[in-house]
Amino acid sequence: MRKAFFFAGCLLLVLMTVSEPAPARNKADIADLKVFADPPSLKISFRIDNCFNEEMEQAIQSGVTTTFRIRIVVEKDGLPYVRERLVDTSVERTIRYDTLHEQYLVSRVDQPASFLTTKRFDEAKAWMSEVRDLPVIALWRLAPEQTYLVQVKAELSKAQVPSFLRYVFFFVSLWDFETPWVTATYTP
Amino acid sequence: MTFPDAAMIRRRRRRERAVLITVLALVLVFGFLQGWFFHYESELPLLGNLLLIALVNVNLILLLLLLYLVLRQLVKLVFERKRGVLGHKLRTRLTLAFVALTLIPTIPLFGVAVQFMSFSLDYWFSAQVEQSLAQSVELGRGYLRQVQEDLRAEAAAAAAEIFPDGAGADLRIPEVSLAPAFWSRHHVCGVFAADADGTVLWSAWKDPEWARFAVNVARAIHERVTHREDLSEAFPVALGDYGEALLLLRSLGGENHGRDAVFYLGVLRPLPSDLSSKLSTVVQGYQNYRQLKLFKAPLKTTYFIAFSIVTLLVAFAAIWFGFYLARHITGPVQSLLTATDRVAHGDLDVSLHLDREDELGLLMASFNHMVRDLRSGREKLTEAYRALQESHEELEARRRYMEIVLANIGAGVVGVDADGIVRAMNKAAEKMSGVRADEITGRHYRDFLQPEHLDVVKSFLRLYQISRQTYLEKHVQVMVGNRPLALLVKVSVLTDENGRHAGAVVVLDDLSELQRAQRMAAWREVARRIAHEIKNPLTPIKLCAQRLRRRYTAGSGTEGTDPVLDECTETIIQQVDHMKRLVNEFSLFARMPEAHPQPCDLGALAQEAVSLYRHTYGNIRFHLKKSGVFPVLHLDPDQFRQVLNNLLENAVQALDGGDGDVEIRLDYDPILRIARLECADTGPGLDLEAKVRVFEPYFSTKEKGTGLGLPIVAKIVADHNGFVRVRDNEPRGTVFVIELPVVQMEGAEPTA
Repeated sequence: MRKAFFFAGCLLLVLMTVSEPAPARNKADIADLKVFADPPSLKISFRIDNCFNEEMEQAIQSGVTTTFRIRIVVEKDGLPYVRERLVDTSVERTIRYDTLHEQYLVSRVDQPASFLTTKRFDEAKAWMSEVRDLPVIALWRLAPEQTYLVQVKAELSKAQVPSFLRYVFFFVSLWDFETPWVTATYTP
Repeated sequence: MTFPDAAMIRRRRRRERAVLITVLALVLVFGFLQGWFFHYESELPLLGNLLLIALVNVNLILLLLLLYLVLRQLVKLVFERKRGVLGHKLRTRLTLAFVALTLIPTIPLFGVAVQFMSFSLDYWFSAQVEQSLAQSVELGRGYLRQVQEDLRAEAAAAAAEIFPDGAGADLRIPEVSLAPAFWSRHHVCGVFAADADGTVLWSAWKDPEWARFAVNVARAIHERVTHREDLSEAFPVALGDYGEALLLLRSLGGENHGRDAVFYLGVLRPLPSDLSSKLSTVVQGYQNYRQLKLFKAPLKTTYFIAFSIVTLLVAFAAIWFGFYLARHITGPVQSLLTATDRVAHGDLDVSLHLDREDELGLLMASFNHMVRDLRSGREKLTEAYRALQESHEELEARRRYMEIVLANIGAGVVGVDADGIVRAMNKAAEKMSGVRADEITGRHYRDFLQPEHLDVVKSFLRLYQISRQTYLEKHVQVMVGNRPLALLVKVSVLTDENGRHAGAVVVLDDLSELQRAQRMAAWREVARRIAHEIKNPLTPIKLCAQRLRRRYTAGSGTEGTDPVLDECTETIIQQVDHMKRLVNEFSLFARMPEAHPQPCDLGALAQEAVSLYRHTYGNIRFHLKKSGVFPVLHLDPDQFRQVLNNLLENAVQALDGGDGDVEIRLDYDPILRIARLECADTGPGLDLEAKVRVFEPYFSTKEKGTGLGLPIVAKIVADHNGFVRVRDNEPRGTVFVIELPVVQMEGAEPTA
């Protein structure tokens, strides 16, 4: 019996080693990250490149509701892990295709007009991948002469497939993506 | 061979069974939980994922544990086979049969199921199905387009009715609500007027209740106008419980105004709720179909994995069940085999553990009963063997005692069976017959008896045939070798308990010495009486004869002497002297003086006697041979001088005046401690009767012999505890052998 438990323990170790998250198939990236002051807020603009691939587009056109999560972190410049974090937030953008009316519905909670519809997929993709003038922190919170790091990362939050397909997604990673952290500095 | 503890094996198997069933149950429970979490994963985003990963891993581990447990059984079976454990062949066959029974249907079923699923998926995702679904959706779209066209016409008509003057920069919003006739003419439920920015300036509802959706409609119009989308297309607006409605905006200001219109007129028509629901279902179905089609390949893989896991579970469970059944069947068989082996090795303390009530349990109970009976039988047998052994020992003791008795009694005993085969013979009989018991035992008496002895046996057989008496007795004189024996032969005929003839026991009593002694005593008595009766008258007879001789010789003168008288008286006187001498010898024989033994050199006595006779009888060659070592004996020298003289005299007389050889041999046997004196002559020898009677008094083969020389020798030798016998000399003549015991005396060393 002890041998059986030893065997099971070894197996668990092996499984833990091999069961890392599946690597993203898209080499998505954050591009044109711009940090600028637009009183009364510090705003950022950027674009997510390569966040869509063919399978993902097919899935969206098949009615799969897809959500991107964009994480934004603002920290004071300093040693890693001990930097003072001022902002750690995320915004989500969701795209859904209305098959009956043949239009894409994009929800952007970070924008004033949160709900957009279009019949053009390119336009819908642009709404999903482009972030413009997104306020991240009030300027008064930033000390003068202090350098701040603004880090941005985007990832596929979830693809709301029918329940009977969820276990497929658990094992088969078709089109999830995750960009690396992209950092820009800002000094008031 | 070692026999493992059965109780320990049972405990271990019970524990293994419990572990296996637990693992199987856990796999099922965790599998179910896993499926449940897949369904509710969206509701438990973080915890759900963690739990899912944990469950998947745990299920995998449990599956592998199951695999390990099953493989372990297989490996154990292989090792049992290698070690040659009893019952492994049957168990292997049963296990293989069960595994084959499981796998033969399972594997094809698995293949068919996978193939069937693949075919089904391919069929489901066939172009025909997709086309049908797409056309259904297209039908819905067509309906919506129709509604849109209607709305477009309605919008144009409503615009003409509400704004009869046409649209322009100075468009005036109606201040009153629309008349009910308007709603009956136009198939819409709401009309809206919005400025160029999309802000609703005016609205009218067919049913005032619907006014609560005004905000939704206003936001939709605003978003639509703000994003400057194609306003010629109707767009859906959600109306809560009423389902969905289509809203169409018409720019006011003429055809050439287009998107730059200053005002927009919107008309709203709700879609029938049931139609809306059906359209939604159709679209949902189409979307699901397309999503499924998108995941066709991974879906197949997933199904394959699911089927594989279920198949493996079934196979493992079945294989284990096969092992279990095989063990369930072969376990008792193995126990029986082991127990039988132990019984075969003599261990009857074995007892099988009875934990089942089927036929095998009955068999094991019967086995236990049989072993108990065997044990009881063996105990009885041991008891009987012990009693038998004691009886045998007693019989053996009796037999040994009988053998000792037979060996030590003076009488010879010979046992003969009904077929005449000699079965037993004691030492006395060996001594008398001169043959060894082991030489004749098992042989028929005819095979070794000499004709003379065989005649004795035949005489007994004749006697038995005549008399039919079971006890016969007879005195016989026989020669054994060159030694005469006087035997009293007693024959007891044996019969068994059924009265059948079982042989005979022959008892031989050697009466030779006894007879000799009796004769000697009788003759002594005779000699004494003769000496007494004859000696007394001899002296007067001699005196009378002498007186007669003197008287008649003196009275008649020398020339007048009667020669007859003279001769007769002389003869009388001579005969009387002879008789007197004879009587003296008789008297001497009758009154043999008592021996006075003293250390004596018999060699010297022999030398002295031989020398005397060598001078006297020149024509006879006297020899004296003496062995290297001859002891000093304890003898009466005068009597042994007599013995030597008598023997030499006897030898000389045997030669009867002729020439010949007389030899005295002195020999010593240090082993038997016997001094032997032999007197051999080359005379004519003695016949059988003479050999038997030669030591009897007054038996003589010579005319003038007194017949007392050799009896005196025998008497003197007997007085010295010796033994005298006669045998033939080689090549001719007679040898008298005197054997004397050598008594160890202080200072009496053997002389060379």
